[in-house]
Amino acid sequence: MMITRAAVLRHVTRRAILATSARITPTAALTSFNEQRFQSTAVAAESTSRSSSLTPSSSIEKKPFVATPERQYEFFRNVEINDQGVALIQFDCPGKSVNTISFAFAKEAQQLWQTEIHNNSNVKAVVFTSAKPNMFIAGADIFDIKQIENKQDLIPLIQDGVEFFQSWKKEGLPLVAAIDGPALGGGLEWALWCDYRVCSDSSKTKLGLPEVKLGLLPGFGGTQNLPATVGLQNAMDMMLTGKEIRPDKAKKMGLVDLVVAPASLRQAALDAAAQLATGKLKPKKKPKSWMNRLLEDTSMGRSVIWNQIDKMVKKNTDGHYPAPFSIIQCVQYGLENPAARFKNEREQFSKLAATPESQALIGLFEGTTALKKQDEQFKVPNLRKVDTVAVLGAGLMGAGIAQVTAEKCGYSQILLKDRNDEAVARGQAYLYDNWTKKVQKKRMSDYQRNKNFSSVVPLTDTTPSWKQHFSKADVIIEAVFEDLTLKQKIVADMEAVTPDHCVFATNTSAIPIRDIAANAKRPENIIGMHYFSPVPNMPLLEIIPHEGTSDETKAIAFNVGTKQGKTCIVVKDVPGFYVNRCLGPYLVEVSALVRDGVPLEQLDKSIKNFGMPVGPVTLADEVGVDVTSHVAKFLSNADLGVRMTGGDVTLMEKMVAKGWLGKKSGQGFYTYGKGKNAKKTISPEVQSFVKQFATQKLTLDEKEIQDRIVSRFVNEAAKCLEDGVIADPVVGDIGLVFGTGFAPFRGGPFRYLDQVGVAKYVDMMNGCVDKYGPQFEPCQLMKDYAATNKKFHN
Amino acid sequence: MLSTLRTSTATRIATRHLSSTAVDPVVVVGGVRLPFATTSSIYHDQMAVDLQRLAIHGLLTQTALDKNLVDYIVCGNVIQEVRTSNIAREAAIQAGLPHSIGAHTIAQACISANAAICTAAEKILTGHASVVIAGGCETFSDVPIRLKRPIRQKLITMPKAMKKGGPLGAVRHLLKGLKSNDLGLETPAIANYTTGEVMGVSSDRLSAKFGVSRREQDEFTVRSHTLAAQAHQDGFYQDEIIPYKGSTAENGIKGDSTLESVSKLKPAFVKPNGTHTAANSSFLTDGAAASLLMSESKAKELGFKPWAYLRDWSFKACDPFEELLLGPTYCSQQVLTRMGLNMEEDIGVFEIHEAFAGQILSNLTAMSSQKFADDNFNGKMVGKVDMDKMNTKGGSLAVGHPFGATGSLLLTTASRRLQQENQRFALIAACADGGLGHACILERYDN
Repeated sequence: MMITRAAVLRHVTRRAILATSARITPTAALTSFNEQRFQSTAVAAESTSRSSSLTPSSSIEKKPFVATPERQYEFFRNVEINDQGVALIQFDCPGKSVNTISFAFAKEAQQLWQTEIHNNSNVKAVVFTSAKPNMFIAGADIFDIKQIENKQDLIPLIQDGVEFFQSWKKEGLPLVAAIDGPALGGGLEWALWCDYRVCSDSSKTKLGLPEVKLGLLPGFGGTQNLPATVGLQNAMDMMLTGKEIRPDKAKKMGLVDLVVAPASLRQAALDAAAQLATGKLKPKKKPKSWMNRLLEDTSMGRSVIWNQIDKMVKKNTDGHYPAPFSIIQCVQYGLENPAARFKNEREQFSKLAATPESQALIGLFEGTTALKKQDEQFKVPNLRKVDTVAVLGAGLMGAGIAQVTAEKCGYSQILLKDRNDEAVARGQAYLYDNWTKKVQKKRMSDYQRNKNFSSVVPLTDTTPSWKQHFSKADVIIEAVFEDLTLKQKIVADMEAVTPDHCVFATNTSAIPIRDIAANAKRPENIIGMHYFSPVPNMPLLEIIPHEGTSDETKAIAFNVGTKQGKTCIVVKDVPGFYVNRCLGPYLVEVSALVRDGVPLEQLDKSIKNFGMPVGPVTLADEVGVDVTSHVAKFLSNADLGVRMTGGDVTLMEKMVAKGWLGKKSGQGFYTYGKGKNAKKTISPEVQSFVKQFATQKLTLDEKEIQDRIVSRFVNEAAKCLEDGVIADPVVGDIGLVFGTGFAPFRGGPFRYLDQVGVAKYVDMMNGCVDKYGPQFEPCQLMKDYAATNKKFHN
Repeated sequence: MLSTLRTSTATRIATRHLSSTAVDPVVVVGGVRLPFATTSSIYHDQMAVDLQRLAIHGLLTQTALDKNLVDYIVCGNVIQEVRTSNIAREAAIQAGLPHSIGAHTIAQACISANAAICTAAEKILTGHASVVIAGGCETFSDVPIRLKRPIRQKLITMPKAMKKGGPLGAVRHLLKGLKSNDLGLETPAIANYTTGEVMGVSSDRLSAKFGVSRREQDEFTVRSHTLAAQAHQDGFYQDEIIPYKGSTAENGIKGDSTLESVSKLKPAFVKPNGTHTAANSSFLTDGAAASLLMSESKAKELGFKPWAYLRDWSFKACDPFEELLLGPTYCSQQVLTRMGLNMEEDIGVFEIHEAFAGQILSNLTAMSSQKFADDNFNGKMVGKVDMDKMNTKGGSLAVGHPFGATGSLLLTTASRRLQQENQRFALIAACADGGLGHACILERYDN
């Protein structure tokens, strides 16, 4: 049979080896950011962090463990050996609902093995499982990795672990992993060292190696054992994207041998172990298709795979993320040098752990996790349970908010109200279509979609019962047109029909919250919740209390936002709040560079190379030139003073006048062709418009362009910290990374400053002051940090 | 004066009946429908269960009823999708109702929803429930089209043959004794199983028997379309129809129908000289509806303002060979007699299902025929229906007739008309396949 090269390539590409993190697609937001990355990390994060990564272990009041006959081990239940000689080892990290592998855990595991299994002739087979429901092992403890100053010191620790795993094999005992709940990172690596894996079909069960999302690699043999288990293509897909595999898929790809109901899991594993011991059951490898054999097991086939992977990774990381390349190196090295493969893996791991990229990603990950728990900070006893949320306005924003609320919060109903049937129906269609896409991708069942859809109650002024519905509302999120009088009127209207406890959240990007609350009867219930568009994809939510907002209102806003899957940051009620405020000077500087004669393509390229998902020119087009112009104009008239000068934002105003509104109108800075593969070009018309606008023709190198734009951005972030607009650098970093796509591998503006050195950065900015003007003046806080050599993150 | 006297007598009688034993009477609290639409139009990609889900969801939206208060759900459905044979249950769950609420589905041809409603009422009267959603749904956009029986039999026994003889044996099994006639498909027909007769033919036969002319049928058809279009235009249906994709329009209604345009059509069933055409027969319709019924005390407790009492009902049947669609006459007679009501004097609102113009006109003729009364009712005529009170918002001929759902529409429209037109009693009547019929009496609820 003839195979064409194209067919082979298609086959490889179909397996879509997306490189990690950096797959960032521009969206019609005030920039974009790949949600999946941090959100899915956050799942594992929530677990790991609770254990230790966030709270320094010293702060945990921890009693030293004292062994008793009932509980001989700290991290494990007592080993049970049944009459068939199967030893059951159960993970059970004390005092929490998750299991994570810390170095202490690993050490005790070895001790347990020595005492109970090694040289114990009663033991014929071993089953590993968890004593906790819906939880196998959520991953390795990041705190441990962070704690170790010199990452080289990780090597012997990892070696110890891998040798322990290898020692199991020497016993010649069949090993079975029984998985219910997440088996992620180190948890899956643990299971991969076993001979046989059984998992439950619970919706909580998911298997994956998400290390890449933290700029790391699976260091406990994962890069070696996974390809051997599921084949090269599946393994690379899993390790490079960090995706989580559901039970049915895991069975199909050979990642697990058996899928059973949760209640049957333990018995199925014990039976399998006993049968493996007697030889009645033999672990069977999933047979490969001839195509996969050709691709994965021949040198020619492999080179095709590596070529494709290399291309994809380069495209998706822009060369900013080292981890995917290390993962590829580990796998390739392992195929060539079987003897030294684990040694190589841990060396690569320790190298990655020392990279600024990994530290930045871990910083973001920890920050996100910490922010998820913020509502606790308000310490409101018996916080009212939210049951009904109302969304006013079924436009893109309102529908998006309704979508995430219906999909994620589990409230009994979401009221969606707009002017007329057509408007509400458009909103309903938006969320229904988004869910249908998920159904098609098998990320949601038909039932879940229909149930979600049914929880959204479409209402208009002519629905006879709308007031009855609103009399049950606990939270209202208003997403109507940006008009103060209108918003005030809505506050009054809503106060008349809603219960006294109802929180009124306003989704505004420009109007001060205190003004919206000015005439309210219950101003303490009013708060700002600034979402980013498109709401389902953008992970950030700015929460803006005004001075009179009560703690209960704040806590409820946090609760709702966090349940919606958003990372919430509290921001002071100032023009632009935090994210848009930082974008103001950035936009001004872009206009300044256009005026200085820098070509548009060069602007985009420089900023993309810095690590932003899209360049500023493309950004303006994506968001809409009109919207961008509006933001720039609004902030120019606000309180930023000299920091909004130095450019000429009429650039965009003039474009709006010409009807060049960006991608949506087919013409912005770029001209957008029709059709799927149409390329964007710069038309002669735009060329001459830009030329007319330019007052000089400076030739700037990429670094200078980056410095000019980024420093304005970063300085405004620092100024926000100085002015208390944001509480701390963690919030500041997360805000700009999640809100604008600020290069994630740099960890946000504050970590970036730390990594470059504040003093050096201040010097650079002072140079710009001399060259271009006072708009580059670094804020006082930066000067102070520079003077004392202080860092924002310790 | 006489009328007032009669009405009060009737009220007394009505109140005595069914509620005499201090039963909590059944009230109609709400009702909605999805826009009824010609088959394979706006709902072409939906399943019947989706339509029922949307109708239930719409009912909850419209009434603001707390879904946790529902005790039971019962829905009508005729052309069954095998995967959703208890469609009421699937629709309820997917509409987000609590899993703890029981549900069943009723198939009683075109009066399935009426059966659902009366089942709900019986549950309420017997104290088994106090809040019930009763509705119905139908789609003809995805009817089950089947292979013929011999092939079906072979496919069912195929695994056995496969086990025995391998793939080759299976093929041999499939081909053995197969006739070319066995190939082809079976599509469901709108025909009676016992008589083998298509509905349109039965109705044509009935019309001939009662002397209903083609012209009368066509005139009645135009009336139905004109009134339905008017009702839409007046906004009468605004609160009764749940918008689908933002619209409450019903695409089967042709407000510009004229006698001239309708009379051009050729006979559709009995050719060449039958009287039933595509215009004066109801068309295949997709749609769903849902009604909310409660015990009076529960409605009061929850602060609802009911539209009407559901007083009494009848499900009598007649000879499917000779008078398949004459059920309304028999049922109306039974329910009126039982309640001691006089149709001509007491009934202010009529909602009679229009399966075929010929069928409804035949029934009206039978009701007011002394001969028919002599032959069947010991000389007691049912009565003459005042056309100014009947189907004044259009009927099935124009709005459409999703088999499983029509009964709920009749209930909603009749109840709302009682309120708006300030009438005391309404008579609902409908015919169904198998010679089945239905009639029920509503009484206005004064809030």
